[in-house]
Amino acid sequence: MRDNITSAIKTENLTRRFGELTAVNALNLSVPSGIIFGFLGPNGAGKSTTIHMMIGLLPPTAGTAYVHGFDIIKTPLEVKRRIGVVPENLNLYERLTATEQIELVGRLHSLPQVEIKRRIPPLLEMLDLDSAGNKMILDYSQGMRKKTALACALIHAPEVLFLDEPFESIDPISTRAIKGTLREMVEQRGTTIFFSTHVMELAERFCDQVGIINKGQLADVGSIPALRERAGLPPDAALEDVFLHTVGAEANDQKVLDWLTKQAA
Amino acid sequence: MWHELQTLLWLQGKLTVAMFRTRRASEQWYVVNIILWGLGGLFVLPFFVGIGLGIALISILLLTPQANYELLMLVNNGLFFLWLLLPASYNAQIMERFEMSRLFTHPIRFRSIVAGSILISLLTMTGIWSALILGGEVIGLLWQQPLALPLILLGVLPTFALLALTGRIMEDLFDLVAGDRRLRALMLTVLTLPFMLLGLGQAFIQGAIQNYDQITLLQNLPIEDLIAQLGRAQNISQFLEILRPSRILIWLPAGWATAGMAAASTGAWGRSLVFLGLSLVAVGALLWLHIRITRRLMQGATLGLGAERVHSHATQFFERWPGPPTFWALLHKDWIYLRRSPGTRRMFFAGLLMMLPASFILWQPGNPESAFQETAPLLAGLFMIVMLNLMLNMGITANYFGVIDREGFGALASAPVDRRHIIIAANATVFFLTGGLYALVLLLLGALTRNWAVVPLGLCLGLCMQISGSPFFTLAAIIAPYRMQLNFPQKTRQQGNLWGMLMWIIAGIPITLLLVLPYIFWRPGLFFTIPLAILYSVSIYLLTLKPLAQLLQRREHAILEAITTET
Repeated sequence: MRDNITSAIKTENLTRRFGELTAVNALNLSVPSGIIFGFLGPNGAGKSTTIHMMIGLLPPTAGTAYVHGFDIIKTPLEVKRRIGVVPENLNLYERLTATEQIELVGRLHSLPQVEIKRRIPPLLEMLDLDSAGNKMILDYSQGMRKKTALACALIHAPEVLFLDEPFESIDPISTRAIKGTLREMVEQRGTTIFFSTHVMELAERFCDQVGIINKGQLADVGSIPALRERAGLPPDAALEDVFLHTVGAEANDQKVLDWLTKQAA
Repeated sequence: MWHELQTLLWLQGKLTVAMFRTRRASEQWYVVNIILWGLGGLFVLPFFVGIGLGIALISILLLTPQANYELLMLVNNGLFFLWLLLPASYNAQIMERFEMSRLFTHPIRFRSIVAGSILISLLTMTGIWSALILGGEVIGLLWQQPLALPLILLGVLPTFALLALTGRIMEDLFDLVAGDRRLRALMLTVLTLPFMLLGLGQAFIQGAIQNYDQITLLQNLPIEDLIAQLGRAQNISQFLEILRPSRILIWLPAGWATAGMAAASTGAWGRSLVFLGLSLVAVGALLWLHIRITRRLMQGATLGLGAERVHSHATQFFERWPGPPTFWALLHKDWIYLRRSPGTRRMFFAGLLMMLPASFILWQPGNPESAFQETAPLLAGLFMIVMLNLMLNMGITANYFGVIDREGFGALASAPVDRRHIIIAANATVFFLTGGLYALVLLLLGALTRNWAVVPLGLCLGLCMQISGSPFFTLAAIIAPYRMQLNFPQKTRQQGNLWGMLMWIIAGIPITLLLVLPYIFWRPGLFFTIPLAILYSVSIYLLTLKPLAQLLQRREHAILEAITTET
């Protein structure tokens, strides 16, 4: 049942409706293997809904998606075996320690106990969690929780990583270490990273390709230079400009904020 | 699948061990906790073993097979209701719940989740003591009818499964409504209804006994014969046989399972087989329901993608009043927060529910002119108001900024508003909330006891105590605020409450004396003492307002840090 194996992720008319609201509308997207793919969009554009469908948490209303050739509807378990996820709400058991939480995920991925024990210390060290590994997650800051969720997503060395705002709340030192590790995973193991973010600078520096979703539809996809070119912007234009142009948000009517921007009489 | 089940059991084991952990506690405390729980287990486990053995011994020594059948009907239906209600209270408070939805991103089979969740329900404390009690029942039944062994064993399994699945479905429902604040509140309310019904039932029986001669409906029922027959019972066996609770309880699923397991011991083999079949159908139906809910959960039912729409009808209302607009803006904000916060809503309903049974206990429809009717409702009503006042203020006012404002307090702290307005708005909101609750409880008590004096006096006492006590609980909120975490019990960080409570007692004594003593000794005196109580309360409030506002101004940074810093 393994189809479309050339792409790490492929969606075919992926659609999700909530009552009268169409959150994701016939999305057709193909993400090649071994790249870092940034999924961008304004708030409420359908990013999280798309990710929820891709990781098998939400059934599509129509269409389907393939992760490493496995259909998310027909073979959700095969998909879940190959992916690591840092979801929006992190999904951690607060009264476990980070070590126990990571061990749980390792066990759910059927890793041998010896291997789990071998992998946890370097993961905690990379994420600067080694001194807090035996404290309850309940006592963690938001950044530490995010790092724990990231460790859970990495413990089984997944083929595709889905990260929802992965670096939010994480300190710059850890961010740098994590980015380095993720880049090595992509270059040396051919891992595919699909992540959503609102930080354009991060996407610009970190991603090989980006996709921009707006109002549930894919507005554009490709490498950043290609997006720039299609938007008719100069080669040195920032991704932020490309994004604003693509979602049609650059023409902000300044008149409504006259009271804020004009000098007081 | 076995490997996945093992992992789920391992997870439940870890979550159980986590019960012994205290936050930021040393290893020594961890050990002390385990020892304390171990000692608790040493007492609790023999207790339930004792209940199981007790049931077995009663069955063997005291009961005929028919009486034993009736006893098991009572016990098993009692267990059924415990399984129905306990997931809402006991487990959720002590142990982090085995929330299935957290596992859905991982490669775990649907059938493993279904089977694992049921298995885990069986292995909870409730499951263990239910098994011990059912074990005692089996011993008793076997003693009375050894030939029924296969049917008893076949019957006890669906009984246990039915209990565990009932608890499991309650947990499922909690998972299902977890993403919806309104559904969650509704479910908690529905689950507290049986406790209310106990109070209502008690009041009904009490009223029915006292007014038996006047209620023709009761006289038409064969209840008199039953009471007379019960009076003639020579022993517990006869009593149970005459009472025959199975007449009613057989209509419940736990009744089917009990009949399937126990009817054969009375010689009713056919009946046993029929009910065994029915109980298997019930287990199948519950299993089907569990599978359906689990599937819904797996399909994103808890993702909470629908946002709750709220309305701000009151905006214009708060704009119309004279005085500083900042004060009305603050009052509006506080009112919205208090109304929308699930914590305060829960506290309001909990207060009401706690007081309702107490009101019914005081219901004495037989003789409204008795001396008991004169004083008891008043004293009880005043006591209830004092308790409600304490409960609501310790829950809300004593950590107002941590409970209501939380992160939003930063906006208040940086706003150029008179700090007195912040305090008055906060206290006024709680004043209206508590006032509404006092009025509801007192009106109910007045209607039930037909002693309407309790309404104005109780309201006067409650509102005066609210006014005089607010400064001290507000002081606690300023000097000892803490970050509110709804998912973890706060045990160690409420030292501010102690000071607030102490000052509240000192401030509240004169009000109580001013209202209660004249009522008992010389009622016309109330015309003087009621205004005096109001004057006293308002004076305390006004005298403390400015120093509190200054203290609030000085401690804003500390409050903000305390209520927002993650611990």
